[in-house]
Amino acid sequence: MNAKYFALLGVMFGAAACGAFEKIAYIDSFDYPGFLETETAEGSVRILDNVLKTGATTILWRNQSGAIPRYPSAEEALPLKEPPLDKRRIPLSEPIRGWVRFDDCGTNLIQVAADECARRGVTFGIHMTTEENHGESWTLSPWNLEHPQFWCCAHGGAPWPGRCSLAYDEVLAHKLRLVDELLAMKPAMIYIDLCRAGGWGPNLEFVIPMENEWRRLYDCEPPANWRDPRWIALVEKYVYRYIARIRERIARTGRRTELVMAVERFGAKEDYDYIYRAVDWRKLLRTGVIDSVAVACIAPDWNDPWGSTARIYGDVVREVRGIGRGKVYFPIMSYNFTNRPGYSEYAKQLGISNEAAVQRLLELARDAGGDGITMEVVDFNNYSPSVCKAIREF
Amino acid sequence: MIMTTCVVLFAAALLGEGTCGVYSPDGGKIAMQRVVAGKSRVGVLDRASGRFAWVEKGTGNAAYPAWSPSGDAIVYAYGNETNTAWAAKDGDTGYHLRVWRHGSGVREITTGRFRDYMPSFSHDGNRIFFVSTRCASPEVFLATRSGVYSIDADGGELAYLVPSHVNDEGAGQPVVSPDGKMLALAQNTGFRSTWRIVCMRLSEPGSICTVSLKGQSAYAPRWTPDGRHIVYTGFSKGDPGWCVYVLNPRTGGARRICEGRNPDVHPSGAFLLYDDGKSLYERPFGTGDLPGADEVVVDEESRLYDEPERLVWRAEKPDYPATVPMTEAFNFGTDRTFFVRAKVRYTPAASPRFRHFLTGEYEGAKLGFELFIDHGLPKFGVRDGDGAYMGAVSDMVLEAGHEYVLTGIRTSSALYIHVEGKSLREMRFSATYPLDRPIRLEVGPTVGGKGDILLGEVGTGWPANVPHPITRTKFFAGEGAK
Repeated sequence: MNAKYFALLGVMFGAAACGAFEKIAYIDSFDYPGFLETETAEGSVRILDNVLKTGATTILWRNQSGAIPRYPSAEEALPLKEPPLDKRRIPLSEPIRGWVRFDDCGTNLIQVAADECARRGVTFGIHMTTEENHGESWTLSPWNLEHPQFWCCAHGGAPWPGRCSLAYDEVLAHKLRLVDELLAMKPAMIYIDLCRAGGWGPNLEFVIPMENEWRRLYDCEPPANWRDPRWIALVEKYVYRYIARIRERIARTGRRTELVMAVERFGAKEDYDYIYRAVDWRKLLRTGVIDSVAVACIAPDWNDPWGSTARIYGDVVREVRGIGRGKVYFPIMSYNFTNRPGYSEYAKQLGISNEAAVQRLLELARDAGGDGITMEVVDFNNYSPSVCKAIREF
Repeated sequence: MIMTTCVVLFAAALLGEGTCGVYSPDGGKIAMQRVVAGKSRVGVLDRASGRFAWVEKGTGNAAYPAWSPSGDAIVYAYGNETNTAWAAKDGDTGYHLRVWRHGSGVREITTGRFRDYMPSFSHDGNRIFFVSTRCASPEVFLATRSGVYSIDADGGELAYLVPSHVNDEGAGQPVVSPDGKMLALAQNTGFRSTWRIVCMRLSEPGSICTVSLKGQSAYAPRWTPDGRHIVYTGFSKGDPGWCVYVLNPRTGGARRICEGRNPDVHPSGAFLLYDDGKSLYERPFGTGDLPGADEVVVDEESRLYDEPERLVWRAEKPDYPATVPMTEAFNFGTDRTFFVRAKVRYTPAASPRFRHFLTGEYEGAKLGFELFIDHGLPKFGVRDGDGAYMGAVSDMVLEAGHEYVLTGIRTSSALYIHVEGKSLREMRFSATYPLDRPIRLEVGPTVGGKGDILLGEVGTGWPANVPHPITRTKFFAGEGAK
């Protein structure tokens, strides 16, 4: 399938879906086990009840936990993946959370959530991390652990089990089989989260096929410094191939599934997603591979938080509209991460309440011409009742 | 590095379904795991007759069998989670050690909501060494760690032998050498690292030496019957998958034997047992498989520590907060060993939780390196390729009013934090952010407390005030070639 085909699909989809101001919430749901029973169908419904307090119109369920799918997955089905039955994974020992087995509780918990969303008239989708995000040794997938020959490598050859390289066709096929498993649950949206990449970047792509291709292209050894623009461009080619194949898989289902790419740090000096994730979202949007861009976070100027945020939002919308297709979502983020300021950072910087900060961010998202907001990880109690009310009533 | 691949001259024999097989001391039996209806179970195969018998008949998971030296007992891990995590939260179900003894059946020798696993007997059969998550405090967010413990073979008091000091540090498969002097185990110092094989003298706990190949992921060690070599599961870039390696820990010479994992050598030394994750195989094994006595790996770590320190910046009683432009001398790239040293007086003031002493800003990384205190614990961090923090944490909480010399070190593959005269902690990694475009050094940029920084230094090479981690050359010095 070519880029024109994707673009046509995208235009059709955009025309059909435009208009409403979406409130998209995504659920890590790994937070919930400490608060309620989550390994049952009732648990999934209770999680949904909690998230809907925000007034969310779309719910995105996380696909995995500890790099193990939250549903019975044939692709990651190894009998001895339960900690500590795999010698290569250090078990998570937190009470309750370190013992949950979402994939092995006799129920497809994500399907339960999907069905419940349908019953309540809420759009259901999947929040798909680039790689497991918690960056610890319990977050290595069974498939990765079984296939060291595909592991990413640092310059110099040190292997790293956190991710298998997309430069291998076998890895691409594995990841697409996982996508197929998700598509079987008929999500209306798949949200690819680049922030949650598990520490992966082009610096870990010094794998044999990538190096061989570099030698073929440039007739020299791969660069010691992964920030070489030619190296990033080479890695980007394989990331693009993967996401384009996801689009193909979606097209094969014959159903509408909005493919959203979450990108980050707009307003920063560097093109963060391109340099650190080898993702060119503009190209993906232009060629019809993705339908929408979710701005996961920005880098505001704290001397002028609202003004700079409005400018950055405006820049994003103008850029997307300039491409000629695609929706834009802006973040409402409860947590504050390094270089990823949430609404509480605005509140702190300006000496205002969280609700007031959220209200203003909602207005900025709307006024910039955004198509909606994404609520970054709605955990059990990180969005206060008053913040939920502000979002719900906007 | 010398590493050769042995040509497979003999076909391996398929012994049937099973993994993690281990020979009995007389070589006549093999204890192993087998998956039945999705559960792991432990049983014994008689090599001569082919008869198979289950050791554990419970409905849970049984794994990691190991024989006693006399061959009359098998220890293994057993867990039976019948509830959801929520329903089981107040119980003591977990993975516990069970000992099967000929004639007296099975006895559970550990309890608690922990994971006790990968056990093995001591050479005299009196103790059992095992990995446990007991060191992971339930109070710690995302507590991910495991250490090595030992217990009397009949149960009783635990000894904590190889501690896990920080989150995401773990141990695997501790096995005692046939002479009872040395423990070999797998060790992992973090998500950005991989498993490696280390040795520790039981008479000197804490004296740990890496013996597996540099840049290799390695786990599941077992000693050869003569104690001269270690077989293990390894992967180096370019390998077709997990492979069985045999290593001379004293010389570093290693050979890749075949694809496979979880190897064990027959007591006669004539056979190698391994699996492919599903089935067990056995193949002939002999001196031709072993690395030659002349296959001595250059002790790269020794060379690393030989580079003397050379200061690129120094300031006594520096004014701060202060900014110092960094010259090209601060270009440490990804591979160059450098250190950041500060003599400080720890005076927790208004904000004792967190305090920077020295930070280096590089293009693309505001905190390219940072020497700081977090909750009284000295830390040294750099950035990974993602721009995210990664660092080494000291296991020593500083006391208010005392002076300390703190040194952070980055080599091409590890980070260290050292508190002078006290402790050296390490974190290994695969890749790091290149510190090749220096901008500025910040001295004490965050919280106040005049007089805290008495001396600041940055330099290249291994710092003279820090005893380096023990190298193979030193660790095995005086033992002879064996």
